[in-house]
Amino acid sequence: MPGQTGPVRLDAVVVGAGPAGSATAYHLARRGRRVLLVDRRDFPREKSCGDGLTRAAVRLLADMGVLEELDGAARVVGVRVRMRGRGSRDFRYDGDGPLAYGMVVPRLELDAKLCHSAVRAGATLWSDARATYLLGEPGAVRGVEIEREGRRMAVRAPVVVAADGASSGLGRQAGLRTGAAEQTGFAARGYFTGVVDLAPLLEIHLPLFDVTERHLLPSYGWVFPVGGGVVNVGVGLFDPSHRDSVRSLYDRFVTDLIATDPRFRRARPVGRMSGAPLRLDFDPARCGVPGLLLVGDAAGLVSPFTGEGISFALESGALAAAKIDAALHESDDAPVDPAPYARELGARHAGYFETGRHTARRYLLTWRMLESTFDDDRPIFTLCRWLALHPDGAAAERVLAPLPPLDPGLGRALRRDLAAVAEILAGCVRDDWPMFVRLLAVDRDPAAVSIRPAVLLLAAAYVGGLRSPVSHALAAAVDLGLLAGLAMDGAGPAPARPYPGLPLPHNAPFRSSRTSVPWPRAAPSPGGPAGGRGSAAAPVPWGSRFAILLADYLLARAYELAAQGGAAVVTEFADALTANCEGRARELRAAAQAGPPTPGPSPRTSPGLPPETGTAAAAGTDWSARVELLTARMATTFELPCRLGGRLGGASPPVVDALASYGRHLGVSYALADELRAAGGQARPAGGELVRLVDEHARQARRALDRVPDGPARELLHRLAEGSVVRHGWYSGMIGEDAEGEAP
Amino acid sequence: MTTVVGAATVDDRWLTSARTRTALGDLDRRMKDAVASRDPGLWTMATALLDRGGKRIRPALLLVAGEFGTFRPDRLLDAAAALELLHLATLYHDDVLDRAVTRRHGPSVNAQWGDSNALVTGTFLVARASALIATFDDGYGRETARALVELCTGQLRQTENAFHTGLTEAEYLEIIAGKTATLFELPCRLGARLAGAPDRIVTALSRYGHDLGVAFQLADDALDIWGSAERLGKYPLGDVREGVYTLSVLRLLARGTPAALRVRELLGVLEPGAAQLAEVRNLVLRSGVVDQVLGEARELAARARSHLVGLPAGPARESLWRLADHAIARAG
Repeated sequence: MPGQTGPVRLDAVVVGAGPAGSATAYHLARRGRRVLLVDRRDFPREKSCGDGLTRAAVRLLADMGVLEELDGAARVVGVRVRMRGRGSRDFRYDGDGPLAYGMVVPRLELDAKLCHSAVRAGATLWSDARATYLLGEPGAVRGVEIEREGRRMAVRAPVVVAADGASSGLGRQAGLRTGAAEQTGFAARGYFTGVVDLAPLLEIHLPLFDVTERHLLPSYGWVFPVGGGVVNVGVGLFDPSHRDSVRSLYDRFVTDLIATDPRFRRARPVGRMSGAPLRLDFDPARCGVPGLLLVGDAAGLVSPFTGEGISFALESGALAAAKIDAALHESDDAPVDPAPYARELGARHAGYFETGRHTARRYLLTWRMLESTFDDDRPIFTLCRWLALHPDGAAAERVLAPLPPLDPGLGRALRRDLAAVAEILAGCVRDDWPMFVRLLAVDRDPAAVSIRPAVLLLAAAYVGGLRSPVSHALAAAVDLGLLAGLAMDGAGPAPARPYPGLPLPHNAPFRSSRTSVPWPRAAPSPGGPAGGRGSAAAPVPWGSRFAILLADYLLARAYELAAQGGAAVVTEFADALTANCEGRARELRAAAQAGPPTPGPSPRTSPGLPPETGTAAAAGTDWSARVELLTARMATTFELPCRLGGRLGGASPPVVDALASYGRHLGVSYALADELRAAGGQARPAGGELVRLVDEHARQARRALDRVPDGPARELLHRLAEGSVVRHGWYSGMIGEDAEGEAP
Repeated sequence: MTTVVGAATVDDRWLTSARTRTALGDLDRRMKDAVASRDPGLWTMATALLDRGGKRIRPALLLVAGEFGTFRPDRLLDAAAALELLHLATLYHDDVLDRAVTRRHGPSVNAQWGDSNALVTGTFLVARASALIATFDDGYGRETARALVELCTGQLRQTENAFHTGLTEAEYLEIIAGKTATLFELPCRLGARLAGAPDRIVTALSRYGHDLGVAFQLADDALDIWGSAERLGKYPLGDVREGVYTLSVLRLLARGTPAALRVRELLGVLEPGAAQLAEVRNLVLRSGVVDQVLGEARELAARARSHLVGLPAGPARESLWRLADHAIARAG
C-alpha cells in the first residue's frame, strides 16, 4: 500500500479516528478493503465526553474485538435517573445474553484501542494529518486533500467518510451543514477522585435550572463511575440560546454535589474541565452526498435526551462500512451513493433524534412531561420514560404480553401485515409525536410479537380469508386507539387506589413500589393567581397536558384511519369508544365513592350524578357490575378489532358475531388477570373469585370460537384464550424499572 | 387563547335568514338525542353545557351554507348537531387545559365534576359526533376526521409553545388556523356540500369560513388584552398568564424596544402576579400593537366578505356578511 506519495488505489478515506471513524475503518478493512484512516491528532489523546458505554455500545465493541482489551474497565448494570428532590429510578439492562452490561471507559483509552483495532485489521493510519478540503465536483466527491508533515496531497477514493465530529468541516464543505448555529447543544465534563459508595450505574441527574432558578433548562447532569473512586462528572445542555451558561451550569452542578452528596465529601478534581459541542440534528436526508458519508457526531447522531453518542457512532460506522462494501462490489471507482446508508440509518432510528431536532419546543414539552410525571407509574408515563431515557428504548413488547408461538405460515403473513401497519403508524406520529415511532415499529425481535389490537384484527381477518385493502389502515387505527387509551389514563389526577384489596382497574402492574416524596415546587406567587381562574387552581401539570393532547391527537388520527373504511366502520369505532367512555365514567364514579377523599374538586360532592352501583363491585361483592364495567372499558381494544377483522375478512355474520363475543370475553379475562397479577396472586381476599372469573371468561371466549371455522388463525385465537396464557395477563409491565424515594 | 365564542357575549342578530333560524329551533333536541347514554351520569355531564345555551355559530353556519343548495333542514340539522358537539368537546378539554372555572355563565364541567370526568365526557362527545357524521356518505367522515386532526395539531402546537417569547407571527397564525379556523371552515364546507351546492360555492364558503375564523380569534385575542374585567367576565390577560402569547404580545416582544425588554422580563418569572400582569397590559396597550392587530382582524373580516361577492344574494349571504362584521364589532 501507500508510500510517502500517498496510496495509489484506495477504497475509502476515513477522516477522524474517533469511535465512528475507527469502526468504519475496522469494518471496511475486515472486508478486505484498502482504507486510509486520518486524524489530526496523535493517539492516545483526551476527549471531552461522559465516557459512558451503553449495553448496545458494549456489544458493538465486542464485534470489533475491542472488548477483551477493556478487561479492567468499570462495568455498569443500567442507568439511574435521579430527579432533583424526588428520588430516582433505575433502568437495569435485562439479564439476557452474555453482554448485559454497560461500561465506563475514558476516551483517552477507548479511542486509542479502537483506532488500534482498525490498524490491526489492516487500515493505514495517518495521525497528525489534516483533511483540508474535498476533491471532485459538487454532487460527486472524488477524494480529499490531506496535509501531513507540511505537505499537501490529493488522496482519491470512491468514498470519503467524514467522522470529523460535531463541527464536521467536511460536512460543511459538502453543503450538508451550515455552521455553528446548528450545533444544538454543548456539554462539559471533568474528573473527580476520592468519591465513595458508587453504584455500578450510569447516573443521570434531572432537571437543572438556570442561575435564577426560574427557568427549567433542557439539560442534565451525569455522574459516571470510572472505577477506583474516580468519576466522570458533567452537564449537557440542549438549548442553543443558553449555550453560554454551560460553564456556570457545570460549576453549580459540581458545587451542589460536593455540598450535598455524601459520596462527594472528599472528592478532588483531577485535571481540568473541558467542553465539546453536542449535535443532535440527525437527518437522513443530510448524511451524505455521492462520494461522501457522514458518521457518528458528524451526522448528528447523539441522543437528545441522554447525550449518548458512542453506540450510535459505532453502529453508524459498521453500517456505513457494510453499505460502502456493497457499493464497491457494484462499481469500484464510481462515487459511493449515500442513499442506502441514509435510508437504513433513518429507518433504525426514525423518530428518536427528531424529537430533539424537529422543534426545540416539542423537545421542551417532552422534558416538562418527564419532569412532571417522574413519580407517576401510569403506563403512558412509564412508556415515555423508557422511550426517552432508557438507552435501549422501548418497543411494544415492553408493554404487552407476547403472542404464543405461531404457525409458521401464519407468522409470516402476520409479520408482513404488521410491517405494513407499522408504516402507517409511523406516518401518523412521525411529524408530531416522533418519540412514539420507535414504540410503534414492528416488534424488533421477530419471534416476539405482542398481543396488540392490530394482531387481533389481522388474525380475525384471516378467519374469513379475504384480503381487504383497508385492513392495514384499520389495524393501525385500533393500535392507535390502545395508545390513546393509555394516554387518557394518564390525563387528570392519578386516581387513588379505590378498592381495598384490589389494584387500580387499568393501571398496569408495574414492579416499582415506593413511597413518593412530594416535591417542593416553585414557590407560589405572592397574592395568589391573578386572572379569573380558579382561586385554588394549581397549574395543570405538564404530564396531564401532555396526556390530554396526545390522547386527542391519537384519537383524531384513529378516526381518520377508520374513515378510510367508510361510514359503517366509523360507526363501529364510535360505538366502541362510546362504550369505553361509559365504562370510564362509571369507574370514576365508583372510585370517587369508594376511595379516600382526593384533593381538588371531588366527584363525590358532585350534584346531579346518580350513585354508582359499581361501588358494590369495588367492595368485592358485585362482580357482575364489575365485569360489565370492564367489558365497556375493553371494548375498543379487544371486541372492536375482532369484530372489524371478522367483517373485513369476509366472514359470515354469525362468525363475525362469534368473533366479537370472543373478543369481549377475552378482554374481560385479560383485564381481570392483570388485576389479579397486580394484587399479587391469590393471596389477597378477592383473589379466589378473581381467578374463577378469569378462567370463566377465557372459557367463554374459547366457546365462542366453536362457531368459527378451523384453521391456523382460529388456532392462534384459541391459544390466546387458554387459561395458562390468559393468567399471565396482558400488560407485561416495564421490566427492570425500579424506583426509590429520596428525601428532598 | 380563550376559545373564541366563550369569551364574550355575542348576540345572533346577524342571522337574518328566517329559514335557518327556524331550523335551529330543533338543534338542541338533536344534540340531546345524539348524546343519549346508558350511563345517566355521563348524560348529565354531556348535556350540562348544552343546556346553558351558547351561540351555536357553527351549526348556524352549516345551515346557512346549506341554503346555497337544496335546503333540507332535517338532514342538515344532524350534521350541524355533530359539529356543535365537536365544538363542545373542545370546550370540555380546553377548560381542563386552561383550568377554567366558569363556562357559559355557570361552573365549567371540570370545576363541577373534576378533570377526569370532564375529559371522559369530552371524548364521549367526540364519539357521538363521529357516529352522527357517519350517518352521511363516507366522504363527510373523512373530512371531519381530517379537520379534527388539524384542530388537535393546532392545540398541540399552542401548548408546546407555551411561555415561548420567540414564537414568530407566522407560526402563531398557523396555530390559530388549525385550532380555531378549522371549525369555522368545516361547517361552511359540509353545509354547502350536503345541500349539493356547486363546487365554486363550496370553495368560496370554505375560504369565507377560514378567514372568518382567524378574524374572530384575532379580535378575541385582542379583547383579552384591552377588555375590562367587567366586560370579559374575568380578568384580562388570562392568555398571558397561561403562557399563551397572542399576536399583540409576540409583535411587541419582537421589537426589542425597552418596553419589549421589560415585558420579556416580566414574563420571565414562573407565575407572574396581578401587579406584573397589569404592567404587561399597560406596556402592550401603549405600544400600539393591539390596534394594529385589530386592524388586521378587520382586514381579514373584509377578506372573508370578499369571498361572498360571487354568491347569489339573499338572506343567507346577508347573514354571512353581517357575521363577518359582527366577528370584529365587539372587539373594536
